[in-house]
Amino acid sequence: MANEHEISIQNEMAKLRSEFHDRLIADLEALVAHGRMQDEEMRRIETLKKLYEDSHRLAGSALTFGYTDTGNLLRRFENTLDLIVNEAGEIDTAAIRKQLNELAPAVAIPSEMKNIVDTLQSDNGEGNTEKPSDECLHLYVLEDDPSTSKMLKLGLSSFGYKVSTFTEIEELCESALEVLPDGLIIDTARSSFADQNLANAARKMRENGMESIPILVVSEQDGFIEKLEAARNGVVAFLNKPVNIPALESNLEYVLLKRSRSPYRVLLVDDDVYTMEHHRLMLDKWGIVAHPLSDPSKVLDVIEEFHPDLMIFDLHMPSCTGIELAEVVRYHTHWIHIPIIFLSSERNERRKILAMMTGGDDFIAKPVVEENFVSIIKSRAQRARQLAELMTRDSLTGLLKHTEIKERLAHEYARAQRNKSNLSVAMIDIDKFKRVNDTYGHQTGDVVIATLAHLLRRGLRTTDIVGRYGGEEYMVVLPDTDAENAAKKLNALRAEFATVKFRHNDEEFNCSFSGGICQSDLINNTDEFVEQADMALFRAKERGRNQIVQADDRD
Amino acid sequence: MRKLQRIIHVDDDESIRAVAKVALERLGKFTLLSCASGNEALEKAAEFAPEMILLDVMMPGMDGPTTLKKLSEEMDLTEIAVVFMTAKVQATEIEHYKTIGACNVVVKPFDAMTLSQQLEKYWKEFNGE
Repeated sequence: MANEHEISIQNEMAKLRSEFHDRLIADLEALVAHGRMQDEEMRRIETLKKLYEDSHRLAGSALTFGYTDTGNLLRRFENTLDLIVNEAGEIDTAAIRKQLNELAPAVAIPSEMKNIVDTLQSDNGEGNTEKPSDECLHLYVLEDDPSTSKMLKLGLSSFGYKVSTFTEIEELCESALEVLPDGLIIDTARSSFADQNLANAARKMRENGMESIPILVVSEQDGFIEKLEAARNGVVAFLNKPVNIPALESNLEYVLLKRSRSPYRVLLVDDDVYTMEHHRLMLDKWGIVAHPLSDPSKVLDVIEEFHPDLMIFDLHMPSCTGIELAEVVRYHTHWIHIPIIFLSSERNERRKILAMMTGGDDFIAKPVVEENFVSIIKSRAQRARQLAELMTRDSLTGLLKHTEIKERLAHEYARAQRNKSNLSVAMIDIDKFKRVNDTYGHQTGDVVIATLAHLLRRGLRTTDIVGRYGGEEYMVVLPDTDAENAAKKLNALRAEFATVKFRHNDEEFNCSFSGGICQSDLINNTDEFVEQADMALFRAKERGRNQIVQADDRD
Repeated sequence: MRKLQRIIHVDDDESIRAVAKVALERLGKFTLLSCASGNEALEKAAEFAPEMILLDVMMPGMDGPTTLKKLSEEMDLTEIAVVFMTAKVQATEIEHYKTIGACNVVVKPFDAMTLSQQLEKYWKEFNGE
């Protein structure tokens, strides 16, 4: 259990690290933008003091999160400003500009890498694009023990990763010059690393363009020193040997998924279409997708369709005020996590407070300053996404929670009715799961549950929606799919799952699942939909488990 | 010796607060109150009744030493271990912080995995062990 606790802490740390990565880029961008200031403005003590404080804060956090190079650059900049601000040193604007420019490459590299990953797996969150979800992520494994190496390769390949193994760091770096991997796995305990420890390997990787690629460590040593060493070298996950492949996979999934975030979506509501277009272009430049809306009365439909991460309402519109609009939106509690920002030239403090009171989250004065505008929106949107994720995702499997998957089913059902397209629902249940729990313990049971979750997610399209319906029960919603095809897909996954070997201590065992499928033309509403799929699942269990049964397939 | 359980952490950087929260609550099992500014700490410290206050030195507005001074005017700090966090590590500076009421200093960047142990150690020293 201690181990599980550690993994969960490491996951939290990895999450913080990845959040910080985004923040670092945004903050650096904002900082570097100061280089475009006029001399006169740069010489103002308020400006210099702000730069000093900003660089101090950012240097501290960058170093804490292991961004050594960037952190040191920031530290140097901070020291320059320290002399000016606190010791009345001479103000050399050219030198300040130069140092700000040096920070710019540090901005460019990580965001560039991010963009590549983004394009590789961008999914606008709409789920409208028909795209297989199994595009390969490429992992480099540094491991000189052939049997572990083979085990990692086999195990991770079965989860759909492309795996290249290396025994020497030099070899790995050479290969990285050709193709950059998406993730690195290092075994720290191998003998040949005795004289080239983790710090060394991590440094070589950084020097060879892999600075922003997440490193995972597998280790025979479970001690504090090893973990400390790992933490200091920016390792995002630390796993013990023998490696538990599903645990490694879930770490990988977490780390890699975080990096492939789709662009933020912002809904703009303003009666002044020119200003709104100006804002839209501003956001577009920074990779934020903005949807302009000039007619406030359409706001509910647009939110439903567009799924914004954040909304910006103009405070003064002729047909209704931004405050009234926010109240209307806040009647819908399932949108409660979407921040609302008001936009107005109103500088009156009282109005501002009033704006806050009615469901708004922030207030930006017009005309907006691009850097501020963008950075407020980015940080708000990021937070909102985390919140939404917490609200809707099951923590063990990362799948949608019960209520969320039902809501998505209703949504898909309505869409299928509209488009007169097929829709199938599958209910899936792990066979004799109680026995797994009783025999091997809950921890092992959890591994089984998480493994099936990964398998379903990897094996299905991004348009398919998977949720954890109950303890060991899953619901899969398959748009544009008839029961026949749904059964085909799930049967393939069923066969695959039955071959997965689980391990408890030295004992190996297998699991299976049963499934019931129902197609939308057999039913009249979503409740019936679930009921029919459930009954089909029940028949699958009755007929001996480990099989898929369709709702219209009666004995 | 009293047990170290309740800690106030004051830092203006939200990422640092988040890391410290995981490090101290999840790893160290302490009860933590995170404050984003000296003012926030002044408002909440007395009611929270901490055993330890972890205070960032350089913050915009009110810095760490000023916060400590104001805290000492409002509440009795004799039983509370005050630890500064700072990037500057010269020995003379550490001595200076000790003269103004800190019992020790955590150097930034700190290591999240060991922060809890470090604070436990300071707590023992503070209690003369």
